[in-house]
This record gives sequence, C-alpha cells and structure tokens, in this order.
Amino acid sequence: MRKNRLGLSNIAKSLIVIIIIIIAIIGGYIFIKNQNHTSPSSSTTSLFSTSNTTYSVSSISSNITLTAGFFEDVTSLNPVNWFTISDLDVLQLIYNTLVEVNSTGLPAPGLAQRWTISDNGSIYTFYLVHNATWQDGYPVTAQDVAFTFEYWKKYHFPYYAALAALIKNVTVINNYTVEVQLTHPYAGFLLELADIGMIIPKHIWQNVTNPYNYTNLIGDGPFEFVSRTPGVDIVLKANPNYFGGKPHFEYLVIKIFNSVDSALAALQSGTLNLIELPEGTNLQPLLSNPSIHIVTTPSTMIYYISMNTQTFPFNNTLIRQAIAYAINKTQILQLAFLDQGSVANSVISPSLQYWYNPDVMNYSYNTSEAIKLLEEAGFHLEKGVWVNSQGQQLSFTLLIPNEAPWIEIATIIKQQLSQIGIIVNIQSVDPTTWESIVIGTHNYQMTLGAWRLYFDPMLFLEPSFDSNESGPNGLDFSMFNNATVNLLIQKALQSSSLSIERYYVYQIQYVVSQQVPWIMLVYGQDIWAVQGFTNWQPVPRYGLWYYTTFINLIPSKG
Amino acid sequence: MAFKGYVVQRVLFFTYSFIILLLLNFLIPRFMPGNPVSRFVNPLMSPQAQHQILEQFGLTKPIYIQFILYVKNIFTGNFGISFLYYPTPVIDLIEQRLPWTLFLTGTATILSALIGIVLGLIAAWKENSKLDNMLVFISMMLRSIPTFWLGLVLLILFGVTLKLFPTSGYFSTSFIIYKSNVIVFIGNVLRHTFLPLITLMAYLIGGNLLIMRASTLSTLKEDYVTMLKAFGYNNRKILYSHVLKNASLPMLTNIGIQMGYIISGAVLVEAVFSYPGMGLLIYQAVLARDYPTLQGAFFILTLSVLIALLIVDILYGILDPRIRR
Repeated sequence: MRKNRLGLSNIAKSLIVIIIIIIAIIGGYIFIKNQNHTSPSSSTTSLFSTSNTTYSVSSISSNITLTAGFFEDVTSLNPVNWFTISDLDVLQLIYNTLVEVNSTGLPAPGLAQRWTISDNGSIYTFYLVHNATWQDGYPVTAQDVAFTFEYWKKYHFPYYAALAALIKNVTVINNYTVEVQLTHPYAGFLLELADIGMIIPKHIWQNVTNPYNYTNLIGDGPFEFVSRTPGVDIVLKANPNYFGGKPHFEYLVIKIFNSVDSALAALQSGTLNLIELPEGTNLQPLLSNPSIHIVTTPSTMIYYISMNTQTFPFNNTLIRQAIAYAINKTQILQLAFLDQGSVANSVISPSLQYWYNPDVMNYSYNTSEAIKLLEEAGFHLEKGVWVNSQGQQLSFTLLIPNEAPWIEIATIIKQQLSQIGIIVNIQSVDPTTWESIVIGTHNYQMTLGAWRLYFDPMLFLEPSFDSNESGPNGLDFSMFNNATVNLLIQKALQSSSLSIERYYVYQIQYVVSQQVPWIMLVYGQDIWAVQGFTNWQPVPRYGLWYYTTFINLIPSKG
Repeated sequence: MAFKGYVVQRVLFFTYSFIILLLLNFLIPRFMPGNPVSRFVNPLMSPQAQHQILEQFGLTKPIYIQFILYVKNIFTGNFGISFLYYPTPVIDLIEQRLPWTLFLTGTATILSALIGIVLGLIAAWKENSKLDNMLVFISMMLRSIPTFWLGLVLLILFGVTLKLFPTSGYFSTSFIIYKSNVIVFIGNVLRHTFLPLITLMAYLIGGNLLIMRASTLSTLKEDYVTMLKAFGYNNRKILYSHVLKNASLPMLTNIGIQMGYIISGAVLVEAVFSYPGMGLLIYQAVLARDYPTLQGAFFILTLSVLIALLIVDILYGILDPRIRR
C-alpha cells in the first residue's frame, strides 16, 4: 500500500516543484519590474524617480487617494500632440489654459486673470496671474504663452491647425502681459483656448527636436504626473504649489475599467471614488447603497440620426422631415436611455445655454404628419409598402457600430418606422469599420451617432454642416450642402463678439432643423457616481471632471 | 541517421511556417477595414489632422517600404511604437503584460491539468459509480457555463457582497505610490489573482477531466491491464504506475495545444476582472487597428507556439521511432 502511493507522489512531487519554480520565477520578475516601475519612456522614468523621493517623505503626513475610473484609456499624453478626449481630460489637470469656463459655459479667468479685446475683435491682450509656477519651480510667464502659440504654428499637430491659422502674431508686452493678433475677428477664440489651449513651458520644449513623441509632462496645473501603466492606471499627485489652491487629497489614481460591470463592482466594494457611467446603466443597485452618491450633470452629448442627403431616398428634404415625424423620441429615451437624458430638437445641447436656440423646428411624434409628407414627396402605399412613381420602394439600410446603445436604438427605430410601412434593414459592423464607412467614404444611407460638443459651438457646427467638409474623411458626413448654412457659418467664424456669433449660431440651428440632415434624438446626461468625497461643482461638458471640482472635493468623514 | 533527417525536415518546416506567418502578420491587420485614426475621430479632427496622425504612424509611406521596415524591426527585436498607447514601444507593452498573463493562465493551466488528471483517473476507475456520475455532471456544467458569467457571479459574491477579494487589477494601486515589503506585495498579488484564477480553472478542469476520463477508460480495456489484474497486482499500483502514464498522452497533446491560450490569455476573464493581460491587449489592438502591437503580440504568440510544436515533434521522434519514417 505505502509503496504504491509512492508511485503517484513522485510524479506529483516533481510537478509541484516545477510549478513552484515557474510561479516563483514569474512572481519574482513581476516584483522586480514593479520595484523599478517603468513609464513609457526614459524621460518620464526620470520624472517618476525624482518625484518618488519627494512623496516618500510627504506620504507620512497625508495619504488620501482619490481613485477615479475611466472606460477608455488615454492614448497620447502629450500637451500638444494628444489624440483622444480621454487624453485631453487628463492633460487638462496637468496643464492650465489661459481661459477656463464657468458653470454656464462662458469664458472665465484661468492662467489669464483678465483680458481685453480690441473693438474690431481681432486683438486680444491677456494679463497673466503672477503666482503661477511650473512644477519644476520656474515661473509661468508671457514668454511661455507666446512660445506655445508659435509652437502650434511651427509644427503640424492634429488639433491645432485651426488655431495656428487664426493666430497672426503674438507679442510679449512684459513678463505677464501678452498680445495676440488674429488674422480676422473671431469671438470663439477664448472658448477655443478654454477647450484645448494648454500652455507648455518654454524652457523645456524649446530644445525638443521631436515634439510628436516627447513625453515630459511638467505642467503648471493642479496635478503632477507620476506614472502611467498602459491599460492599468494613471497616477497623478496633487501639486502643492498650484496657484489656484491645493487639492484636499494627495493622489489621483485613474484606473482603467474594461467593462461597466467591473466598475460597478469596484464602486460597490468601496475601492472606487469617482466615475462617469454611461447613459442606460441600471443605477438601482447603486441608489440603494447609502455611501454612493449619484450626481447627474448637464452633458453636451447629443445623439442623432444622420442621413446621406445626396442619395435616394434622403436627397429629398420631405422624406427626411417625414422620418423625423415618424420617430417617437420619447420611447427611445425611455427604452434605450432608461430616461437618463431628455428629448432633443436642436443640434446644440441646451446645457450650452448661451448658444442653444429653443425655437427650432420641433418634430414631435406625429405619424399622420409623416404620412402627409411622404405623399407630398410622391410616394403612395402599395401592399403596405411606400412606392414612388418610378417604382422605387422606401426602404433603406441603417448602418450602426455593433455596441450599446446603438443596437437598442436601431431596433426601436426599425420597429417604429415599420408601423407606417417604411422598411429599415439594420447593418451592424465593428466601430472602426463603421467610422471608416461613415466618416471615411460617406457610403451609407442612414446611421446613428453621438458627439460631445465643445464650448465654442462653431468647433462642431463648421465641420459638421459646412459643405467644404463633405469630402472623404470630412465630418460633414451627411453630405449636407446648403448655401444659407454655408454663408451663416462663414459669418459666424468672422464675428467680433460672442453675441454676434450667437446670432448666427441661432440661425444655423434653425436652418439645420428645417433641412434635417440629422434627426436629433436625445440630449445625454452625465451620470457620476461619487463616494468618500463631497463638495463638487458641475460644469457643462466636463461634469465633475474639471479642475474646480478636484480643488474643491473634500474627503468625507469615516 | 534517420533521426537526423527527421529533425532537419522538421526544422525546415518550422522555417517555412515562420516566413509565412511573418507575412500574414503584416498583411492581416492591414486588410481590416478602417485605419488606426478612425478611433480618434471627434468634431475637432479635420481630414488634414487625420492625415497628420497617419503620417506620424508611418502609414503614409508606400506599403512595400512599411514591409521592409517591419521585417528589419522584427529581426532587431523592435516591434515599433504602439498607436493605441502612443508613444510607448510595443516591446514595453508586451513586457508589462506577458508576465501577468503567464502567471495567471499558466498557473490555471497547470493546476487544472493536474486536478483534471487525478479526477479523470478516479472517475474512469470508478466508472458509472455515484462519484463518476457526479464528476462528469460537474465537468459538463463547468464546461458549459460561460466564463464571463461565472466570473461576474464570483466577482459579485466574493468581491462585492462578501468583500473577501479585490474586484480588479494586478495588485492594489497603493503599491505604486507607497512602497511596501515583498511578503505583503505577494500576498496582495495572490488575493487579486484568486478570483480570475478560479474562474479560469473552473473552465479548464471540466475539459481536462473529460479527456482524461475517456482516455483512461480506453486504456483500462487494454490487454495488459487485464493481465496485471490476473497477476494479482493491486488496483492502485495498476492505476498509478501503468494506466496513468499511458492514459496521460492525450492530455499532454491537449496541454500542448493550450500553449497558445497560455500566451494569448483569456480575454473575457481579463475584461471582467479588469486584469489587463495579453488577451485584452490583443483585443484592444484589434479594435484600434494598432498594427505594431498586433504584429508584436502575434509574433511572440506564433513564435512560441511554433517552438513548442517543434519541441513536441522532435520529442515524438525520440519517443516513437515509427514517426521518423
């Protein structure tokens, strides 16, 4: 009996030894890797090791960490060569802009404590705060501002072409005053600076030969960069010398979640403090948890149907209007968004209250109006199908990315339109393929989309509805070509004051609503789950993800 | 002599496969519709801006030049710069992910193979007993439960409700910020690995047990087993010293096949537990059309599978002289 057992245990013993060795080797490797935690490149590694020494001292006094969650990891953390909105969201905590926005979405002081605008609206003079410093101790001066503006002109960064073309000349008046001359009057300049105009330190960037993949992240904002592990997390540290005040916590850790479920689990288990949840998330389990606060903030997210206005059947405005009447937006809001949001009418979201025109065409659900318009467009019902005099059937393909919430919305639209005899075929493809068809070639009939709007509405209206942008890869993917709108866009881009710009933005909204290249479905809502911290101030578009929130948030007791 | 010829033939075959894979590795990602910039598009991104990013990625160069650069890079061990995690070198990404994946899926594969072998042997020996029926039933069940569902259930039960285990990550973020000692760190890593490990093992054990049981059953019907019984050897001796070795052969092949799985990771389990391994890296690289990352990850993957198969082929040649002809 004993001897027989030995037969097994010899094999088992050797296998166990092998497993332990393998696990030990891998474990040891992981541990060593973690000991000298590497960052994307040598320059950030050195940054990490320098800040390493400072925080090992300060960690004794305060060790409060705010753990936030992202569903989309950052791509390129570079203040001039960033690629995605996630990148911008993180970079804006490290770098200041000259102008910020207030809770109504209008310009507010940032790095510039005040500014003056010449009467013709083409010369801007910025007066900087005197106490801003870079995170390596150098003061932030007008030279840095001028350097940044000239840097945008010198290189071809993806997002700064428009600003570079707009800025004609930058003059440093003194250490804290800078004058910017524009090529033409443009009132949206301040808001555009608030959106993307991060100022970079001259003393660091002036010697950089390849700024496209330079990874030094010394900024002047409320947070310092500590480390980034792709797909895992981004670690930031509160900047004690930030001119706007020091956050009430030491570290901001942004964890990357690969599914809503894992983020919800982290919230429930108390390891996550702040996250924005997508519309349509079932909030019931969170609402019953007393330590989690659900905060809804105005979102600039718009959800819409886009139609290719150059091909049958949507080259006829009457058909587009008919479809707009035949869609029950309230039902879509209830079923696909779980009522998180509101029914949309204009292309500008009402959360940008200064710009939103409430008096646009309102296509409330009305099937008899839809039928009337279809008949006016020369269609008649034949065996339950709409056919025109040339025998063309009113049926088309709705192309969508194969993910939430598009599948739900498309299914509801198909069902709603079938009720009045319009045949919709849903074709779903992976998101990148979808982009390459809709934005790349515009070779589609109808699609669904969503944009998060910027503070300056022209940053969105111009690319989306100016017929100059309807070429391949252009964002006028409804191929919308309307002479009135083209003219209004040109006027808006030359306006010398915000109120003049608003006048044109109102008119653009009205004409677009009348011509319906897009059927507006829903205005989104930002849903934030917060726990362990209180005292937040929502801002449109950013919600709670804004430097003001991070400065004000206070850890709650316990 | 014959053996030497056999080895040369296998190595030649390996080389051909390697060259074909190198080519496919370059072409397949580029055949996917869309390009790496598609994912970044937002209202601020003009066609010119999209083109500028493509230029930065080196994708505006003619395709043959891209191919030459790719081959040159591969042989210098440089897979280029990731588009998705710009400008992180792909080799750094793989270096970050691969150990964690090996740790998780490797441990799961080895442990589930051992447990599968032992339980399969017992189930077959006690064929049609209550124990056998129960084991087969449980294996079938574990095999058919979707892993992400089981993962979610375990996550909610042990992570959220009971709060026994952490819900995501390799280890607590605090280790990045505040250094700690080795023992605490290893304990933390093990606690983070536990739930994903159990989820993966549950899936793997079922299959292993069934394969082992089937192969043991057929081995038990061999004449030599009957003979050993007739000689009066006791059951344990027959089972562990004779049947086990012969019945394990299909299991070894099975583990060999799982090699790819060990490297490429388990996407769904990684997603549920936010445990970023090779699986998630490849998945996200596919979605983002991150060509360099795809090339690097698939290169490592295919190379290790090819080498494993080469070793298995040569071992077979040593073990079984018939194969050499």
